[in-house]
Amino acid sequence: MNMKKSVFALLMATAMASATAVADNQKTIDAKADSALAKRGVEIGGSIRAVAQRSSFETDDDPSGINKMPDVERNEFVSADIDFRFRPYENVRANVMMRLGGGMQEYFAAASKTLSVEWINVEGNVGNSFYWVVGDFRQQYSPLTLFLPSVDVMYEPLIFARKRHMAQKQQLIEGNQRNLQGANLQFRKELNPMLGELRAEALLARVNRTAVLDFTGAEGNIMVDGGIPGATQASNMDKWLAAGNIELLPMSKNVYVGVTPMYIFDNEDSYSYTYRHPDRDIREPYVRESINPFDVDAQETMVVSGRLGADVSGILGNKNLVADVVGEYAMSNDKVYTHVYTENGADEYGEPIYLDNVSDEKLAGAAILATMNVGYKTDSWSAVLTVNGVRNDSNWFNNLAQSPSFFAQRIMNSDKDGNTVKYGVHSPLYSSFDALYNFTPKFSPAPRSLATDDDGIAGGQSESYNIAPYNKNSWGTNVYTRSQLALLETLNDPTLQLALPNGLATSNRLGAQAVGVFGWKDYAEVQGLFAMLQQVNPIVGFEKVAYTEYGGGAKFDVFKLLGFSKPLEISGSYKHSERKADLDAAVVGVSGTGEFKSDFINAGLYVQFLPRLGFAAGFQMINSEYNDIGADSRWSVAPLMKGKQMQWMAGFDYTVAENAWLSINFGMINVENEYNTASLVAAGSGGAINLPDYCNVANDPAGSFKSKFSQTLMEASINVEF
Amino acid sequence: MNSNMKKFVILPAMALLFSAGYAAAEGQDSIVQQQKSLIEKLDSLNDAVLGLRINGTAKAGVNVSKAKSDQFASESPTQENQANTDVNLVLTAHPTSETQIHLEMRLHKDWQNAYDENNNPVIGHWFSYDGTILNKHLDFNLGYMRVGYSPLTLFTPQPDLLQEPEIFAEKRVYALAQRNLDTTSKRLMQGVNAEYHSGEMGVIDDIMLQATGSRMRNIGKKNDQVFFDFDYTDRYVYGGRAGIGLMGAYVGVNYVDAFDRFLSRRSMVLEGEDTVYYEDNRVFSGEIGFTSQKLLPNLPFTFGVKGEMAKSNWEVERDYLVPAMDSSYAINQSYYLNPEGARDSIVYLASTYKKITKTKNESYGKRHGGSFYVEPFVQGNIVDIDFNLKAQYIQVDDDFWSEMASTPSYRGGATVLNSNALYGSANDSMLMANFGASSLENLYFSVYNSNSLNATNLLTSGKKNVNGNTSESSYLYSRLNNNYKNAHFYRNGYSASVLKRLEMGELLSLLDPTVDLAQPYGLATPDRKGFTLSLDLKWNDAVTLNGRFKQLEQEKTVEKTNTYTEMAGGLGIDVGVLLNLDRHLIVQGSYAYSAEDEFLKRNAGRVIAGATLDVWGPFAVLAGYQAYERHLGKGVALSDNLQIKSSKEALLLGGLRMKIAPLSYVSLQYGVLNNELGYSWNDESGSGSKKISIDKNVIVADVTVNF
Repeated sequence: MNMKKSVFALLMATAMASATAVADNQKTIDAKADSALAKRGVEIGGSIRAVAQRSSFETDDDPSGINKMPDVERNEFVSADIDFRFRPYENVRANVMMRLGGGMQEYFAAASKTLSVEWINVEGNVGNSFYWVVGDFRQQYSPLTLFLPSVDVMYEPLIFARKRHMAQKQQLIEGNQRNLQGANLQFRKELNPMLGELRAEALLARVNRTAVLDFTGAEGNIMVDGGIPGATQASNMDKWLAAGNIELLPMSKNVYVGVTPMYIFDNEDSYSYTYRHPDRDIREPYVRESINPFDVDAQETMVVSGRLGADVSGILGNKNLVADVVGEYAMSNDKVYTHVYTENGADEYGEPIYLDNVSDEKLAGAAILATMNVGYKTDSWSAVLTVNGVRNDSNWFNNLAQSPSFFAQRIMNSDKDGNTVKYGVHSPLYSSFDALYNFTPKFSPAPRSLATDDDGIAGGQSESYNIAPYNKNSWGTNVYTRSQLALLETLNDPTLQLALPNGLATSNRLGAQAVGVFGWKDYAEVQGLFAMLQQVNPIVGFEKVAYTEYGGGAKFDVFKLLGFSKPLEISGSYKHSERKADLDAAVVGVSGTGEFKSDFINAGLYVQFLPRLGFAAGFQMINSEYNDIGADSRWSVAPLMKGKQMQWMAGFDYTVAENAWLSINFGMINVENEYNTASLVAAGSGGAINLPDYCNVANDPAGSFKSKFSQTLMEASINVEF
Repeated sequence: MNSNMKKFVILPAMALLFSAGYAAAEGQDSIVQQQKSLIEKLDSLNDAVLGLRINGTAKAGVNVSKAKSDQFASESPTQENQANTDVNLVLTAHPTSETQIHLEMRLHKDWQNAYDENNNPVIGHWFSYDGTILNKHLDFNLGYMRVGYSPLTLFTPQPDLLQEPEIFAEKRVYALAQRNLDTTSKRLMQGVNAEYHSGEMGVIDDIMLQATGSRMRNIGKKNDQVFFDFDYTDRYVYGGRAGIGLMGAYVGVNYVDAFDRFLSRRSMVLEGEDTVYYEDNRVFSGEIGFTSQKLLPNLPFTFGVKGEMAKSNWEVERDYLVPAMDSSYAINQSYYLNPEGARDSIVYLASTYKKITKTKNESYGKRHGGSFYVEPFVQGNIVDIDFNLKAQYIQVDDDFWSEMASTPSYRGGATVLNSNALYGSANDSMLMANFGASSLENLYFSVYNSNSLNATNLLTSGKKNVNGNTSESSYLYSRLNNNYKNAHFYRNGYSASVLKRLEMGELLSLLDPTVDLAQPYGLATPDRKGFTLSLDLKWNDAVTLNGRFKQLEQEKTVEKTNTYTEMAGGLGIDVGVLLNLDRHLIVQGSYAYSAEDEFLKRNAGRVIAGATLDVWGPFAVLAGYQAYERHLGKGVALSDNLQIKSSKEALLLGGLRMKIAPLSYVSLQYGVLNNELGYSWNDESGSGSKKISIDKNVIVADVTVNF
């Protein structure tokens, strides 16, 4: 056989084997032998989320059926995340996560299911103290440096918490860690008991890349076709983050010293252009323009943070006492630009030509965060008070800590909103509960007119998104730019993100937040919250802007108290949030106070009556109110004055483990909004972006329009993490 | 066996274009066999444990390219960054012990985190079912496959770069792999292939039979929004060969036919000026050969000869629209006054004519050509020196055409790095868009991206089928995808597609002849007559020496006889082996010169130098330098008023590589790439000559893990 092959190889002068064969084979042999010795392995894990949901929209405000979009949205989808963890050698690993997505309702219509790459990296270690990862990774340093701020709901009923868990998992969110792509190096070394442990870390990540995106897509845009700075997330330049983090934990790890320098910059040399038809008119010849012409400035931000902390109870050697304190001081230095447009002659048609005169300056900001935990813990009870004191300048800027994970979106029955869906919290049929808890990964919007030809598709689509699937989900790990954060600030849900919309790194805040928790074994827990913050430099036109939050809640496990093994947990909470903004009479000419008040109530019940079989119910209500001065009229001349949102849901579940369940639930969201339409009435104008299209202000000569609607949700979900 | 061996082998191997390669392979045959058997054992160990085997490669890192040029427009971007993670998963399943299913998938993520990257698809880029059945007598492939017959029938010409240092070679292999290509001269196809070997039967060494069928192109059939297959017809190839080996002698025949399927085009209606050409290319060849190894096994050397004679037939038909008259008949009635003065009628048959167009099919041309080559060789080992000497005489008619053996996988003409750059003058822009960046950039760099599909990269046609009409759809913006879906994009100088003769004619002036001026389409290059000499020497695994000489004449397709002369020499020394050190310290270099004395009077020179040094423990220093200069004599016309006159390129690349596990490395490299292009222009404002000079600085940092 050997001979045969050699003769043929020789004589037929055909496709020869690569002459590198010997060397290649040797390498392969070495690799395979090493891999066998390393007890080579492939580990497969993952999670599956399968949801079938039906949401029907009802309102009495549209008796003549002006809004012809479908009343019912049905979603059935399966999202399976399969993790492959390859461990070919002792000290090197490769990880791959693929997501298989199927929309069940389209099984026959569109056989193509998505198989996408969600997470890939290679990682390894050198010895016991050095770890590296290149590719996708998660990292969190401190609330002022690298952090993913989220939304807290006190004693959130389990039935809702599970929905939020799935929505966040779909976006690969793990706690407050930021998802990044790049290289991350970590060094950990136990020096000696006195010097303690040394942690030195460094990372380099690209947080955005030069890539063209369409402005009309639901993906990649904060405000679809907004045409304003921050509206699109397409980037003209590559944006990089280089960061280091050094921490020392001397005195048996009871003292903590940390320093984090971070440098976030746009690589200006990579500034690129693309070609577009002006105004998307296909008849116009292509014109070269910036990939994102609305946000042309390069970011250059330096952040340095220092932290000092001590665990007093640890130093004292007292295991019952809780007494630790950490202080963090961070400075930011960000390059900001001013554009002044001056007229410079005229073109051949007599139209003026404008010159963009750009100047820049460095804005230095500082942030201070002091965190203290004081309390006492025994085996039967515990009482801990946590206080966060912040003083963040108005110039303080760090988008790696300030970009929130929650950006309120319209989810179920979004077709009903038509083009106004892009205004998120301001869209007419928005509710906080819909944004917080619902998600659908592959939603195809309904065309406004039924036609399958090109004309029909062109004419039948809303202006805010194209007829194509998109992911509806309010959660994400995006890193936003300065102008995107400024735009987001106008799109925050004030009932959920009032005092600290960007977490503890929110700029322009001074004040404190205290949370006291009293626990009695596993039986019961009581919590109280109080926060008082104000703007360091009140925004123009105001003398003082202050935020107050207070509330409390409790949970009891009745069955555990009675000695049963299964749970019967009752929980509830109340939280009041308030913003008061005193007008600066010297600037605006009048005095007064703009007020916003909001109350959030939660009530939950969870009982398991058979092994693994349980019943869960939840109730939530948010009442909010603005006074005339406090009303937010930035996006609409008919601002929202009063909102009453209520949600309840009840259902059965079969729980296998903490994050493995099957549930069938039924629930309802009821919303009552009241808008001030006086200026619309006065102008005789038709509508505003935040009013439903069926609203006719002419019917409300009083200048107040009440919008009432409800969504009835029926859902079955399976969540398995393995 | 140590990896030193590899270094020796890799150098001449890259260099020995056709015949040298198989000789080298033959020399290592037994070692390769032993290694393969060991690999099979290790694989079967894994199979036993896993049932289904999953292997692959993961690569993650950054590639930064900074460009500088006086010809850039002031607003031009000067830097392009590639940062990504890329995993190639190889799944092998064994439904039976003799057959296997081979599936390869590519997962690619370009680093960024500023917006939700939805639906970044996994690309399946290799599907095949292969096996060795019937007591290991029959090998078969179904699906993706690589098949080669002979240099004049089914073959892929490969670059011939003597003493190419490892730092370059590995980059070239990586760029090829992204296109599913490799460094062998087999051709990438999708279809079915079966190869039978009888093995030794008495005095007969072997009887072999092989049959192959493959679809080479697929018509863009669908009323699709996104597609890249602009072909008018399906194109197929089928072929077969048979041979018998006897006492070291061999006789064989090969046949290959590549043709367009008429019916697949005719499902589409032609319009206006559309003309569709159908090419049919049949090649038949006979091979003979002899090696002394069988008859005289105890000689310290082997001698022999091989040869091939081929006949080709190339026929073209075309379909286009011609004006015609369409006649139809109708029964008409007219009225008249009869002699009595009363109204009467008459019924008659009337014919009417209408101008229409009809599809006309006609023969567009036929060519028959012949070719042959004969190659005596001698190889062996005397006084510790391995030698391999070959001479070849070749003659190829100008009408000879063998498509499946002609198209090289190196195509060039792309701008791989800094493709976003903007040029200040229209001429520079046009030149760079059509001629592309330097050949060294095309040979060694590649970019692979996963980008969101959007208005700038979705192809939407104004017609249901884009064939024959390039107008953009007025519904472009309503057909967009919400930035919802990513697609994978390449910037790569290599291509797996096979070009037809008419297409090759169009591309001829743009096809980068960098790699082989005299025989750009390999041995099957038409209108060549002349000889080639090749010598490879190796002493003690430490010193390698290569020499090449080629002189070929082109007579028919040029006004005056054009003589190509190529000469090249290379030297590689492993200082580590020479000084008996326990590591490899390889220093190598080569020089090649090629020229033509008439036609365009082009000439080119290439210098290669490099070092691969295992300096300490897991650390190795890799370096390479290559300079390439060509003078295009009368110039290569890009358009009526632009002619490229010369180019001067240089690439210096060096770096540090650290081994972190077997076949797994962390590597940091820095490179400088210069490209200078001289051209002449003329327009109504006058004429002149100009230079484009671009300098690129490249930094590559990555980690590669094999699993």
